[in-house]
Amino acid sequence: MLEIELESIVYKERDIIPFLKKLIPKEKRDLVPFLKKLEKTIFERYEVTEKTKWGTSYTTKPKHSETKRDLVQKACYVCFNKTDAKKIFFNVSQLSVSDDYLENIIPWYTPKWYGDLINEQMPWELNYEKMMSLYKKELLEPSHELILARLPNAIVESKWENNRNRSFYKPEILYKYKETLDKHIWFLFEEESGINSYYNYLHLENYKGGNDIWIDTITNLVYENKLDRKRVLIATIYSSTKGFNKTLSGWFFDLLIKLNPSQDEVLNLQDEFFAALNSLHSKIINTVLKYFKLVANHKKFKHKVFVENASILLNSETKSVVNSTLMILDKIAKTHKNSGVSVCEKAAEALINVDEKIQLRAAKIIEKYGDSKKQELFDVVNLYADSLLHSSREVLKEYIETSDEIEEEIYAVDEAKILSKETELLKLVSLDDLIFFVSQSIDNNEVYHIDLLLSYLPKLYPLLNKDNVTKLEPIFKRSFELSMNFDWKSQIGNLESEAAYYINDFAEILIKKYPSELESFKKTKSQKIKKFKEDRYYSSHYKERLKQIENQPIPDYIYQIHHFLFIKSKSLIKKGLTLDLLSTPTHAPCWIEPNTLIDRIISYEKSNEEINLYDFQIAIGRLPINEYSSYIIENINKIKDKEIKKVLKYHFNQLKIQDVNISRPELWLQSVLSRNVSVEIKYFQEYLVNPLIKEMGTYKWDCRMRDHFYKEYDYAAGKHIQKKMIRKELNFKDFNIDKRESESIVSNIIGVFNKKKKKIKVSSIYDYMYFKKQKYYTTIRPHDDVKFLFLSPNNPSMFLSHVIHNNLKESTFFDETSKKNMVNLLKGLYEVWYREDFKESTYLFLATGFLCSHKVGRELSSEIWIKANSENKINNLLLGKILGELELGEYAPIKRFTDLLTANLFNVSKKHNEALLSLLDNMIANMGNSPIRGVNKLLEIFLELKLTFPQIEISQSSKERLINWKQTNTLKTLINKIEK
Amino acid sequence: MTETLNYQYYSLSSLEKKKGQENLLLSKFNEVDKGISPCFFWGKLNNPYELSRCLITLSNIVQSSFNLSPFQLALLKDPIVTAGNNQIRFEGFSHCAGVYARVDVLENGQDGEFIENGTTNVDFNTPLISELGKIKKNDDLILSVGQKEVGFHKGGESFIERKVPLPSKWIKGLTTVQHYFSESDYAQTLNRIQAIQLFKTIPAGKVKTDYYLIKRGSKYLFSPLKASNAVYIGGIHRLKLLQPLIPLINKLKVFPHRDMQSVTFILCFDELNFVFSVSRDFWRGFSGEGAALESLIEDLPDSLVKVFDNYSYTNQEFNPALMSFEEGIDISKIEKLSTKLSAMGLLGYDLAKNGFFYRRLPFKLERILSLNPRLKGAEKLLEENKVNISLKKDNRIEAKVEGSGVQHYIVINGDKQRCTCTWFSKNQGERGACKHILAVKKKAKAI
Repeated sequence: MLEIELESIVYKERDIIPFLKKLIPKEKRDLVPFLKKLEKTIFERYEVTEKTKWGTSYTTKPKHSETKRDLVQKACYVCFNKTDAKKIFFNVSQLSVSDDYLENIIPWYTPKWYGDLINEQMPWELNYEKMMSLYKKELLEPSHELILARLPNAIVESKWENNRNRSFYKPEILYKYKETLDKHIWFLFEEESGINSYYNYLHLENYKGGNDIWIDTITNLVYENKLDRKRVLIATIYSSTKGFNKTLSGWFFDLLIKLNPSQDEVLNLQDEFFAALNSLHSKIINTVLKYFKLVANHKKFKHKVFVENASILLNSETKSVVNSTLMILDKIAKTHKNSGVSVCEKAAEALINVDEKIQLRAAKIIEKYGDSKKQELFDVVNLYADSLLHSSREVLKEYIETSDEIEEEIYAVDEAKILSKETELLKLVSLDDLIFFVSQSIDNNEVYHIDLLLSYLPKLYPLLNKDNVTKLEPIFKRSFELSMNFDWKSQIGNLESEAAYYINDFAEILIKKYPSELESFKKTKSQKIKKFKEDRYYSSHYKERLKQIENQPIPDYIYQIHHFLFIKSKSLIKKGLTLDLLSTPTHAPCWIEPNTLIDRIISYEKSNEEINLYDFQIAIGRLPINEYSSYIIENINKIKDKEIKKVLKYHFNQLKIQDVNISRPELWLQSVLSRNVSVEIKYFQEYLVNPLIKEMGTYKWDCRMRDHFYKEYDYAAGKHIQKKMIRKELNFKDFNIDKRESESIVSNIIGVFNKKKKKIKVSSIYDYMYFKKQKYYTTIRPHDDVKFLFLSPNNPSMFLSHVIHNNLKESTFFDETSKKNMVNLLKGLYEVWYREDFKESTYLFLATGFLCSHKVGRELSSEIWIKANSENKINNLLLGKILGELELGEYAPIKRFTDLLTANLFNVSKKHNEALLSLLDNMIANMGNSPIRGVNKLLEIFLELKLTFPQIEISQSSKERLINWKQTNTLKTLINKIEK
Repeated sequence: MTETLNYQYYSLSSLEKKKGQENLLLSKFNEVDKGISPCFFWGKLNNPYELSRCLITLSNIVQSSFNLSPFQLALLKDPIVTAGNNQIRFEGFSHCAGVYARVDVLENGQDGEFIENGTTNVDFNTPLISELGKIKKNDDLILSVGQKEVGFHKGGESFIERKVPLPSKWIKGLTTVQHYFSESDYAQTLNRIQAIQLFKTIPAGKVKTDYYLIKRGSKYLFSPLKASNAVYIGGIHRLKLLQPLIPLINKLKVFPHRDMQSVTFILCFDELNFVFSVSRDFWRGFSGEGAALESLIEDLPDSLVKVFDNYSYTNQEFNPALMSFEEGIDISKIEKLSTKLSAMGLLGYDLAKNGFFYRRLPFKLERILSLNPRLKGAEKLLEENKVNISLKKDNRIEAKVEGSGVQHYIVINGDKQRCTCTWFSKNQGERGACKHILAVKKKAKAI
């Protein structure tokens, strides 16, 4: 009966209120199922397809009129429980702000859940004033969250007038309800709210005050005695202990500063201020210390508590915190004579700081108030003796034990033997080992796993038979899935994908041989392919991925080198040969033991298998120089190929290149570059009529301002215009990234006329060491980068010069990939840095590592420097020169380098300090005649080192620079000390 | 996935000054024993300043997360207190279950009464933490774990209720980490100055690269390069949580896990230890690790577990050999027992003493045992008869296990176990066995 009546009211759009009013609770409950259905019908929508000028648009429109929907909603409100009602009212603001509801329904029907629902949903139209009026009507007990969300906005009123939104400052609202100032405003101090982020940007019509209206509002309320000043001060200070975020905490302390507590107030609120010192935000701590500084010499200041708390402050990373703490300690010691010892002991904790000024300040406090005869203080200061700089050492000389200089603990480095038991790679021979290795190689791999895979798969092949071949199925499946994966996978590089194609080809070879055994995998594979075929997106892409490795496209030129190796290895499988590739490493990460290489060459000759040139070149490049036995010469003689034999003899010092008739220079190239003997290189260059600049990466470079042009759309002009910007850039001169130099007809003709010898082309892996830069990053995926570096570990300069050209023109990284490349390559370089005579590009790469914007990169570079210096395998003068030139060109802020100096490079050991002195000496020599800004820190460390090694003379060119720099007043005293 | 735990406290924890003493009341709640149990401990703490700083840090840790959204972060989880055998321990876990911390108040660190033994959740609220920050060196601090005067609650009428989402991984992490402790070895001790210098080398910001703790000369530092004997530290930024404590310590001890799956630091104060452990990587919690899985496949009779539960009292050291002797149980079973019991939340591990101790986590057992997915997976494989052992001879087992569309090949040779599945290929057993290996092992035991 009721259902029919309700339905008729809705459809005929009649007044529903009288009907709803007369319903008793039971009738309401009974109506619910019907109402739910009715609601569904009335709220139904239908699809509309419209043709617009942009194409077809699909939208939906309601089937029934707004009035009908409104009537049903009202019925739902009256009959439903909270859970159901919540679903109907998409936004409960209707219930809380609509006059229709507030005047016509709420007065006679307010369910128990009414207030809860509003508190839960926090409708945005319900502003503070409306919220309070519901509260006054006893309809709502606003929750803390609701108050915190609405109160910050309460003092601003926005209106839409004359087609624009106008906002007015209305603090009067705060006086309207007693609860506001008695209770609500205090919540803001207790719990997180948006009080700090609302009003800076609002243009208020009637307010021309300071920057933040809430700070002004609270200050005014205090001034007008509407809020108790002491309570506000306490609440403001305590806000720092509530775990607020940095900006909100900072905002409250801005309020505190505006409230400007007097000296008496600070003294009375000391406990509160001490609690604030636990804050994690330096602004809070700095502000507290600022107030403490004002009262530190007051008798009422709780100086003992401050001294107790000072440890944490003195170890802060923020310099100003440490400085202020020391200043306060100084004042305490001055005021309270008997606290001298405890102050000094505490101040000593700052001696660990590497900042000279901080150390000196602490040292002076100890000198002023301490007594070196007091054993305890003497012992405490001595704990820090190692970290003292000369200036503070001078001040504290009475405290430092004058016993003979303690022999410094020698910083032991792992013996730098490249071919050691520890680095030797396990030789896998059993079927199980090989199967599980293949399984691991594309998932959790070491940098040399791809190399090993190329030798292991040909070895696995003959071990397989119809009984065991199925064991490989899970690996084939995974490899197939990997090769068909179209998503970005961060854990693997492109070479792993290439390895997957290679394993796929291996699987295909086996499927042909064991069709019935591998039936299940074959079926899975074809099902997958079928799925791809049917898919709209993948149908056009998948075919490419099914090609054999020979026909697979590569992501960039440099990938071609590995591509050759994969193809070579596959050909071995096809022939059933179990030969290793020549370039397979025997020792981590990329080295080959010389005898093994010779044995491999002999095996190739025995099997009549042609040696792949690139494989040969990589192999030669991976021989560690000077690590071989006498047996090797005997072994070389077993090789049949005369020229290879000669190359190896030359490589191992048994033959002079000048005495040989070279017919295949490509066999010699890698050996000449690896040995890196300048007369031999010169001879080879002349022989080839080729300076080999690219192969050695020996480009000239500079770092300076460069103009860059880009296009920007000018809205006023309605067209693109060219704009100019200036960037400081590191650039190679004559760097031509063409794959091969093309010889023009003109140059050929000139050559003929000049009777100049023609340049001999040498094909080599270096022909392929190129890669492109896309918009922001290179085509080299992290994980692949180190594998490229390890292709030629004795001559990394060509590859690294390209990395510099593409990634390191500026010291700031703009993308994650270049950053990862840098970290990986530095880690790789650390492993292969075992000789001093790397070409300049390698040193330049290391220098950019020192200066790059990524901290990990800088730390890794310093680790290379430390290791190389321990082993005497680095040219500090060259590195110093490069760093000087880069800083002169303002490649990176000098602070980056001086911070690294103090934190990582300085005081590693006596030996390292000596090396650092010569590095800095040559750096200064190359930094131009006028000093760059911030160079004083560099000079401070230089002075410190100079004082440590008074016997070492600084270079003439460095002296000349310093004389010029002395004209700058701020550097004068420092340089005078250096010159002493 | 996320369950809700409803903490119900009879009052808020608080710190009040009475008669010149600071009284720290920790309000407790235990979902296993909901009755108003009496106070566990009441007495004086000897190092109030250091302890309060440790508790603040512990609270920072339970509130921190290294892989969750700020929204999830806003929900605070309460730490757990264990009192008994003259020791009090406060333990907690970060939300992401990758950082574990425990404050051990040693025997001489307190002077009070252990009225009852037990483990309980305690309420840590913001005002309490804020009050703890005010504790000074020479203050008298009286701790009460639970209300001493029972009459104080008005018949349990009103209590403070806080609902927090309780991912099972939080509890699972809390249990797994104990197992990791038992597999960690002492590496080195740093004095305060060395520790301060070490902590100054933590790089700023969130670092994705792995770091290592190395020693160069007499200095310790964190470096991104692996040297021999270096201690691995993944997600190094998590150590910043400890920074406020470092200037206050006497010593810092380092305990890396045998396979570098975690690293634990013990910050030593006078009669007070702060144990801090981080997982292998910041995105990897302890909970997902399969360290204890192998022991969980052992079917231990419930009666044994019960005997054990009755046998032990809170904070008592767990001595497997003695128990096996006294209860007449096969020692091989007992060896697995400690792992299983810690995985069930019944044992904690004390690295400083190098042994397990009894403490029953204040959560329902079924929560704790909410099965590990890998173990569940293994059991499902067995149920569906997908495990086929082809060889079992001496120490070698060869088997095939049906996976999705393929047969995985498993070889177990003594301690070495390998599988052709992706999980194993990726982790090479470092994060516990895969479900295939677990299933094969379980089946092999039954043969």
